[in-house]
Amino acid sequence: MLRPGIPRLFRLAPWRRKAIESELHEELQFHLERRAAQFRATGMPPDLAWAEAVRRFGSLDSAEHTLKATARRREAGMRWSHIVDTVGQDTRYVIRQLARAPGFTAAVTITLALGIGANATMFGVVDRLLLRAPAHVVHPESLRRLGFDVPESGRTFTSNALSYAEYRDLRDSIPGLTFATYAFPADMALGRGTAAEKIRGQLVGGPYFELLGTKAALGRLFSRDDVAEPTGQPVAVISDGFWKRHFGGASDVLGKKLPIGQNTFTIVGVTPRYFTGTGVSTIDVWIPLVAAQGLRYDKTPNWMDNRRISWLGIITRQTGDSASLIAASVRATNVHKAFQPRDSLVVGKLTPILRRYTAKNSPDVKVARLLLYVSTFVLLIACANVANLLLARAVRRRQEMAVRLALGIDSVRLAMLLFTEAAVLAILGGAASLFVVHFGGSVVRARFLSTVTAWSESLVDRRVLVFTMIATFAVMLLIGLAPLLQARRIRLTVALKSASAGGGRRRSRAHAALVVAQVTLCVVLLIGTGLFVRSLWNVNGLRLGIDTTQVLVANVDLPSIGRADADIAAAYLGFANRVRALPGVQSATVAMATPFSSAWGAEISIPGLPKLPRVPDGGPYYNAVDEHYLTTMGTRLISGRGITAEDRATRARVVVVNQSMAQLYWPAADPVGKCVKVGGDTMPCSTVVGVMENARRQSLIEGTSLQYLVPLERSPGRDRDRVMFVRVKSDPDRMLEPVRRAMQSAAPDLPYADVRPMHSLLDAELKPWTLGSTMFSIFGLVGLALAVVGLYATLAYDVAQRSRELSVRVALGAESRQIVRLVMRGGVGLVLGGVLLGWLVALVSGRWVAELLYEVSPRDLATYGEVGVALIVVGVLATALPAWRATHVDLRAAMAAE
Amino acid sequence: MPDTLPIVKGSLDILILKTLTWGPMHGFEITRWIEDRSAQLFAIDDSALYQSLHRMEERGWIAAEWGVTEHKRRARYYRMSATGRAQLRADSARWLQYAATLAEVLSATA
Repeated sequence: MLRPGIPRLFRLAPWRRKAIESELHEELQFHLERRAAQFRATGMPPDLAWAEAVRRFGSLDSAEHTLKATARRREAGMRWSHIVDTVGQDTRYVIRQLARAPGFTAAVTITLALGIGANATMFGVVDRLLLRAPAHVVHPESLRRLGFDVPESGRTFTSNALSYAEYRDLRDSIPGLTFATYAFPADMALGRGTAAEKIRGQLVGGPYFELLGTKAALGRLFSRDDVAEPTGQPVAVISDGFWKRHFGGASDVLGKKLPIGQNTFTIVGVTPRYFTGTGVSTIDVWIPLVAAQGLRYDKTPNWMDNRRISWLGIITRQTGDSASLIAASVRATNVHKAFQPRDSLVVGKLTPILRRYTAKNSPDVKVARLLLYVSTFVLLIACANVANLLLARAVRRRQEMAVRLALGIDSVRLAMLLFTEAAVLAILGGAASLFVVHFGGSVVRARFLSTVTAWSESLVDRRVLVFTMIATFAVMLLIGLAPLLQARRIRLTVALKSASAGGGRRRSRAHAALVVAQVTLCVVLLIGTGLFVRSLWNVNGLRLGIDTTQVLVANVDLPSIGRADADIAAAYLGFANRVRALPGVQSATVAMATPFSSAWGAEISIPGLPKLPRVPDGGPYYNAVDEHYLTTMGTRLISGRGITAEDRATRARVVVVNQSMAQLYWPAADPVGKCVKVGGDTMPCSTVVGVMENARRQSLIEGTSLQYLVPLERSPGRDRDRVMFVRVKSDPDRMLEPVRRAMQSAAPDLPYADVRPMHSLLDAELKPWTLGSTMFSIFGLVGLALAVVGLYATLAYDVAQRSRELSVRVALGAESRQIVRLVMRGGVGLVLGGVLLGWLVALVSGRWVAELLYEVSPRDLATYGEVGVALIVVGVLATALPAWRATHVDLRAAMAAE
Repeated sequence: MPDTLPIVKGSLDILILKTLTWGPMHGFEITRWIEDRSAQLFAIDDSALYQSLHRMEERGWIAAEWGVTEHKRRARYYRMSATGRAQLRADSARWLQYAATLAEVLSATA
């Protein structure tokens, strides 16, 4: 059925109806006349012949009536088929024309494919990082994560991590609400010995899957019994990806055992494809938190009551009164027993789990979002370029168009034809852009987002397709506009009168505007590139106090298999001895804490300093190390000595402090020989034996950090916390496996030995700058290339247009130098204009990137200067060829062309 | 033997389509062409001819446009479309088979 409004479209305009009727009448009259003529030819008198013709026709009136009805119906239908037909005809014509100019077509297609592809790629990335709801979570918008507003020293910050005791209290105090809890995904060692491997696991408590609404793809998810206190059941749920990778997707996976840590977990189910809980990173296996002996962050037996360690997220559903119920409970329990260690907690609050709320301020999302905006610059440059090419093409075809106009094609039709050309090109570019997205997407994913699972094999999916279509349509309008305006101006007489000389001024103004716009956008892009690259340099150039390039960090999760503390400490010393024997290893050291990953604080007191000065970073933090620590880590000793083998053997009370600590506690004196009471003022003195340079504790960029070292054997109660660092002589990536094997083979029953380059601990932190500088560089270079092509094409075209003028100048005695200067002045002028505008735009828009930069002002003069110079140089080069050609214009040829 | 044969219902369309394979023609030319080819045996009802033409035009089998005759008169010329050609191919096969079968049945001896 047609909608009521539709038939109106098919109804004919009254004038058209009249025309149909008179045409029909004319057709029939013509027939009757010919018929009468036929009879007359046989000798019939004219009046009889006419009467006979009419008689033979049958009932003329009723025939005419039916015919009119048919004709009207037909005409109404034909208006549409006519349009479809015309579009089809134009499209075929345009395709033929484009096929005849393969160079032009390819250039435009590639240009648009890059522009649209850059946008669609960044959209795909932002979509996956930010916009998309977690897969297989029912009503993700009502899912809330519990946080607490904690007032501290005048400010309030929200704490999202809680202890199991707090989860339990909350759950028991508000029976009306359902709560579930989860630990943050962590590496776990699967199996032992040489077959051991590393997997990503998540511990969950309470009705986690039920609360998310997730259904098992195979088997079942956790039951109440599985997660019940105190120890639950040793069962596991695995992800679709792990199932396929590890079990080849076999259906008999249920009931199989996974040896993780001290337990063997029975697989009871498989989650649906792409399920990653509430986050975006890959998870292989889920284990009930209560059953995960040795795998919990807190490995002590009384972990369930320990309120000091905040390591869990708590989720619930938002209902009408859930917020007030929680707030009331928190207030009540806060006063009484449950939240006592957190006296300062005042308000429990619920935050959405959707990443568009939670992750919007994380640096990589900010950079990705910025790049999405920036990629539109590339698209705009591409559009300007294509519009320019189309303009030039339209002008070249001015004569052809004038002829078409003369032949009676109306200007609307001509405009449609030009727009069709733009549309076909846009669609070609849009289609080709999918390749760019597919390959670009896999590069971006591999380089920057390798842990994000919520991402099908290719970046091209339905949402990206829809985005690409919208972008293509926008491009169609943008690049179709120029020739449309052009078509309006084509006046038959003007165009025919002067095919190559007339109208040039005005048209080249449109060209010039497009070139200036391109250069402007390009300058902004390149300034962005420069700022990000400088930030990356600055970050990479930081002296961290730790050499991250030649050092590997290695550990084996021995606590998870229940090894005694003393055994763990001994095992690491054994690892270090084995590894030192490897060729290519310079040194190896065993320590307690891992810089950038873990740090331990211990109370100290210093005789003569009743109140220790504090720094915002807290501390002081200590690490227990062996005698190889400083040399292996590349941390410089400023004065005194480091920890020695003798210190360890005698369990000497000695410390090595860092510069910040030395300056803060003993600003006027030499710290060596001073006394530090580690553990508080009741403890005996430890003697400061050396001062080391400041090294990073937690992140690349941090304030003053107070740190000191003690001998490895002086870390009582921390023997289970061990890590090994290995300094290698050559490529650290090539040494990963030998080191790993040496550790793994130290004993037959070890869990997976994890060896990573030290710099991998920094990757997450460096990501915004690497992502920013890499993508900006790519976009900047693409933009620059497009702008150069645009500039060159415009000038080459300009020279061609002015060939007569230039040849006359040459004929009149102008020197080559003058001609070159004349042509180049135009080109370089455009570039200068673009550079100035670009600087302005960059100055204004700089504040949006300021927070993403490191120690570079968004108005960094050097960057602005370099980009300006670079573009002017490029501009001069792009104008040189056309200018040179201008001096070789042949007067006779130019005149003959008229 | 009568001097003309009536056109069997449904066969006029195919006759017109066949005629138009020779090129664009106006209505009267089509009549003349069919009459000549059939040795004047097929007499075309003029009214039926135009109804058939307009019907086929509506269906898109043929298209019409105004042209000028050799006598400098304006006339509406019909030409065959791609769909019309396909239609002709299908229909003529059917009609030929029909005619052959009819002939076979009628000439069968008891």
